[in-house]
Order: sequence, then C-alpha cells, then structure tokens
Amino acid sequence: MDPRLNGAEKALRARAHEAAEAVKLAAAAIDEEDATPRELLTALGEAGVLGVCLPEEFGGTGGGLIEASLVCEELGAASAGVAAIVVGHLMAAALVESAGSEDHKRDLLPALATGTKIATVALDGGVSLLEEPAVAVSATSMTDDLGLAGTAHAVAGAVCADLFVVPAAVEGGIVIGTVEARAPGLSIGATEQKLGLNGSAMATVELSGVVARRLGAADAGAALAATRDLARIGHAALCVGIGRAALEASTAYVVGSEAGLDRAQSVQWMLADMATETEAARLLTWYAASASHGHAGELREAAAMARLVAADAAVAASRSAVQIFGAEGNRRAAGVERLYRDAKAMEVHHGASESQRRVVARELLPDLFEAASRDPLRNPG
Amino acid sequence: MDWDLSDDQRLVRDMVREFVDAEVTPHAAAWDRDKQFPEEVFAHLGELGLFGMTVDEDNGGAGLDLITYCLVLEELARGDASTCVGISVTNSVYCAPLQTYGSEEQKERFLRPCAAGKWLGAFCLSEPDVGSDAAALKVRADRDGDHYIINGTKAWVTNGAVAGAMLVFAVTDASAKRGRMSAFVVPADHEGIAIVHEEEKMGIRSSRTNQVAFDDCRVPRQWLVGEPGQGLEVALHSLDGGRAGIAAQSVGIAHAALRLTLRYVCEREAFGGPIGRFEGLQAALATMAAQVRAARLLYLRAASLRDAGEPDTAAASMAKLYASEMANRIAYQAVQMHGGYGYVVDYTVERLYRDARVTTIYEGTSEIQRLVIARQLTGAVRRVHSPPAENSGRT
Repeated sequence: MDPRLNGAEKALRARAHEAAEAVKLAAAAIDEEDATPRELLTALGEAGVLGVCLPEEFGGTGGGLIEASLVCEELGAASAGVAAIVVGHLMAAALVESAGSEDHKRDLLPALATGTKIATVALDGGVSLLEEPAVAVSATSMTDDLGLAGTAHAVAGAVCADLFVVPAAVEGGIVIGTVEARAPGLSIGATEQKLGLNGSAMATVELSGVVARRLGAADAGAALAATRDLARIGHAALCVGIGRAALEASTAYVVGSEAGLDRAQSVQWMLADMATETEAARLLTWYAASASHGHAGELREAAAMARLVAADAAVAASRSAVQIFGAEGNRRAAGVERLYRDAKAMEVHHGASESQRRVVARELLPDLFEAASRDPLRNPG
Repeated sequence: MDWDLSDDQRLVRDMVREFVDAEVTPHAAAWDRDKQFPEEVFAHLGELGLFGMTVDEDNGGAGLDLITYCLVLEELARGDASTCVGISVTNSVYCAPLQTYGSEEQKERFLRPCAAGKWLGAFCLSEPDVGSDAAALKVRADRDGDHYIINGTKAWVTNGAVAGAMLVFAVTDASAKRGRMSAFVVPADHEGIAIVHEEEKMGIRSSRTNQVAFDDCRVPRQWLVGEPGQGLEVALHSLDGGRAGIAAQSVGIAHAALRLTLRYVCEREAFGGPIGRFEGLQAALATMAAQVRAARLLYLRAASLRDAGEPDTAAASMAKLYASEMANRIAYQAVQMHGGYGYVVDYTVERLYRDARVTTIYEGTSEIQRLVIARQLTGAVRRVHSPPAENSGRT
C-alpha cells in the first residue's frame, strides 16, 4: 500500500505537464474561438501523450489507466476543451486495440499513437441526464464490412477527427466499425455555442449508408464496457485538473494580493476545502485506475464514483475560485470564469453525474438489480 | 502506485473485524444507553496488543505501521465509536509521544506496561478555558528543587477516570514567548490528582470524558517528557499523528451508517416495493458510498506518507476534515432514510448520528484543520514555484 507515484509515473506526469504548457498558453483563445489549432494536437502527439495507452509495438508508451489519468489531469488543468478531445482520442485508440484484429491494429494504431490522425468514438452523448452515452447507430453486415446508419450527438473531437470508431448495434450484440472522416454518407454538424468545453470540437455525427470496416471481435460488448471505464477515469482526471487549476490560480492570487486575503478566514477556508475536495477526487480516480479490482463491476463502480465526485469537486473549486477573485472573477481576462463554465459542462458531458450514480447504485444494491450478490463496501485490498 | 494492502495489514484488520463483530457491535447500544465503560472488552483489546499498536516491539508494542493502525480504528469504530476513541487516544496521544520524546526510564515505566495492555493512557492538554488555542494554557508546573508542582484543572480528558497514566501539559515558564510549556507523564493514582467531573455527552457516551484536577501535585523532574519548554511541540506532534486515526474513526462510523441503510432500504417497503428502488435514494446512497471511499483513501494516503518517512501535515488535516464532515452528513442521511425508525433507539443509526457529531470538534476542529491546510498551501506558493509536486496535495 503506497499511493505515491513511482518514478516512471512521476516522469510521465512531468512530460505531460510540459506538453500541456503550450495548451495552457492557448487556452483563453481556444475558449474564445471555440476551436483548437491542429498544431497543438500534433504537438501532443509528438510528446507521446496521444499514445499513452497504446502498446509500444504500435508506437505508444505502453501505459494503462493510471497513465491516462495523469495525462488527462495535466491537460484538464490547461484546457478542458482540449482534454475532452484527447479523452475521445484515447478511447478510440483503446477500442481499436481491444476489439481489433492484428491487421486493424497495424493499420490504424501507429497513426493514432503519434497523433498523425486524430480519432474519436461516436457514442451518442445527447441522452438524458440519467443515461450514459448510447449506442445510437445500427449496423447491417456486409462481408467484411458494416453498413452504418444513425446519429450521435455531442461527440467531442468530431470536428477535427480523421477517424471515427463507431459502436453499432446488431441483432444480439454490439459491433465496432471504423470509418474515415471523409467517407461518403458521414456528415459532421456545425459546432454549436456552448456553456463550456469550448475547443472540444464537439458536434453531431450523422451516418447514412456509411460503409465501415468491421473490427475483428465477434462481440465487442466487453471492449466497449472497458472503453466506458477509460472514459469515466479520463473525464474524472480532467475534472481533477480543473479543480487543481482553480486552486493554483486562487492560491497565487491570494498570496500576491495586497488586501490581506491570506489572513481572511473565509478565504482560507475556501482554499482548504478546494484542496481537500480536489485531493479526494484525485485519489478516487487513482484508486479506480490502479487498484486490483476483483471483477469488472468493481472497476465500473470505482470509475463511476471517481467521475461523479470529481465533477462535483471541479464545480465547487471553480466556483470558489471565481469568488476568491472577487469582482476580478467575473472578468474573462482573469482566466477563472472559464474554469467554472468548463466544470459545469463536465457535470453533464459524456455521462452526467446522475448517470454515474445509477452505475454505482447497481453495484451497491445488487439485490434490487438482479446482479450477483457480493460485498460492495469492502476496504481496498 | 499501489493500493493493495499487504497480507499482514489485511490479517490484522480482519482479526480485529472478527473480534468487533463478536464482542463489540452486539453490545454497543447497551453501553451507550447505560453509559457503561466496557472494562472487560478493553482488557481483551489490551491483550490483543491494541493499546500500543505503533509502539516498537522493543518497547513492548506491536510494531505495526500507521496504515494498519488506521485500518484497526476503522474496524473498531464500525462497531462502537466510544470503544474506538478510548483506543485511539491511548495509542496516538499517549503512547506515540512517549515513544518519540520519552526517556528510557519513562518508556520502561510508563510506555511498556500500557503497550502491553495493562492500562489505558490519557492526554491532558485542554482546559475549561483553553481548547483550540493550545498555547494559552493556564495549568502550571512550578519548579521546586528536583520536583515540579502541578496546579490547575484539565478538561475533555478521554479515559480520564480509567487511565493508568496521563500525559499532562503545563506552563513551566509563564514569561517566555516560546517554550512556555512542558509535557509530563504522571501515574493516575499519584497524590494530588483527582477526577472531579464526568461529562454527560451527546454521543460516544460509554467513553469516559473527565475533568482532572491537579492540586499541588508533586512530580519528580524525571517525569518531564522531552526538554523543558518543548511541551507545545510534543502536543502538536501528537495531535498531528493522531489525525489520520480520527479520520479512520469517522470512516468507520460512516461505513456502519451506510451499510445499515443499504440493508434497510432493501427491506422497508412503501408504494409497492422496497424503498431502495427509488432513484432519489439510490442517487444519495451512491454519493454517500463514494464519499466514504474518498475519506478512506485520504486517511490511507496520510498514514502511508507518514509510514514512508514523508509526513504531510496538510494530508493528515485534509483526511480528518473531510472524513469527519462526511461522517456527519452520512449519519444525517442515514437517519433520514430510516424514517421514524431513524429517530428511535431501537435502531442503531441514531446513535451513529450522535457519535459522529464530536468528530468535527475534537483533535482539532474543522476550522483549525482548514487553517492548517490553508497555511501549507499559501506557504508553499510563497516559497518556490516548482514543477508539479511529487506528491499530490501540495499543489
């Protein structure tokens, strides 16, 4: 039992931090224009960030969930919109890696590892607050290919993706298809004005008679479920990043202020609560990412716990940040109001907090959900 | 990073869990109702080596790490918070400071027997007029040749009436700006010590909480712990070490409340089925479960940093702050979800609600914890602005 980062983890975190610097510098403009320059994503690819979960044989750095969470926290602290694109990309890469045949992996993964191509997963995010992003596309089987039709709303990365990884429903299960952005029948909607997550390249993806390459796995249900866990953890880490950015901005502001803010108890208490709740969210995320989970339900429960606590912590921390800055907090130029908007968007994006609570409740109350009975409250280990 | 417990850690935790399930949980309600201090159970816990868990084997202790200690406290608190607090005070603010600051003679006479389970320890810092402002003590220890004479009254002393010995903090140099107070270890039956009051409390009612009066209590200078004037350091060091333990105690109370509520909502029926099927309750329970786990992870982190030789004051304070506030919230919701039955003594949750209430108050109020955390945050920014901290929580 040692929750400290080991040497390799610290080194990765430092590399991701450095790579996120350029993103941080561009964050205000990205938010203003609701657009992420392609060069930034390319640079993240060159820094190894985009292949963090892919095996070395395909050009990745061979990491897993903990590495993904370290990367996503650094990016979330810099720009939530950019981080959302990266989470979509990591999900897409992971789905190809777990569901694809060796041929598919060799064809598709190297470009994803280096960021030469950006990818995203076309799950429908336009669901109610009680639901997780849905499989909204149906597939008809052709010999080696799939014919896809359907609409996926609120897909982060859609505007800049070169490759779409599309979970689709067939009779009796889930299949996964991959399709290039320019494929006939695939259209990307316009970017809409949003509260937060500007720069996330979020749009609607419509498929009509699209021919997609079928990834190998016969039933990709398990691969998709694992990708959802990666999404929960990546998004949780992104929220931890927002919380940390809020805390860092606020602490620097307090220390630098001439108004004696550091001696004001109400300010001290806000800083302390921000730090505590962000740390709690971080530990839940790391626990989900790295503990030995006995079975899939435990990982799912842990990841959902992290996701819901982290979103809440990010909203609380960024709200306090705006407050600590006083009237300055209301000015776009001060840089904290964006955190508040991004945090709130994360409470509803890609699996709203209510949907995550449902996931946890299924594990806590198995008898009410006809699942196998086991102890949901065991201590770690 | 590694979240898995070692085999030893799991073994000790499971042993205590078994003991608590059999010998503590079934009796906790009666002990609370009758304000009965369970001497025999404490004697058993002493035999199990739980009085000096982190004391070195050389000094008669179990030589356990802080992680294990915290896991044990969580198990004890799941059964009975009162039992837990008697153990935690003995361990963290009696035995631990003696091990760190005590002389060999003091350790032999005052640490070894306690660690062996012979008697409990107590900690006399607060006074009727002095709580958070520990530096403003009034109890005096006046030098008289080879002795000190202690006069004054200490308050909020857990185990006061049942301890074998006490750590006592008193002013030895009233005019000094720093080094004003010193720590002493005194046997409970020493002349000049009297238990003058027992508190009637909202919760943790089977725990003894006393006022201890010192009336010309004459102690040899060999019983001064550490250096003269080092008292505040000894006190704060002890409290700092105890914070992760109190966090663990809070998690134990919350965990018990949550488990009971999960069971209750599966059994209680309304509007055509178990109330656990209502989305509002499920959502609240999910949040509660997540927060219980978060609190556990916070105390494990604080404990493991200390075990690794990298103690982080803010980490311990965060754990105590979060866990105690969380335990109160969870206990409140547990009572609510039990409906009318949450309000009567036939069900356990009302006791958990009362037991949880003190956790945000003792061993450093939530307000003090926030102060400690904020100081570390702003102090860090003032020092050097550096790349991401090696341990999280220092950002």
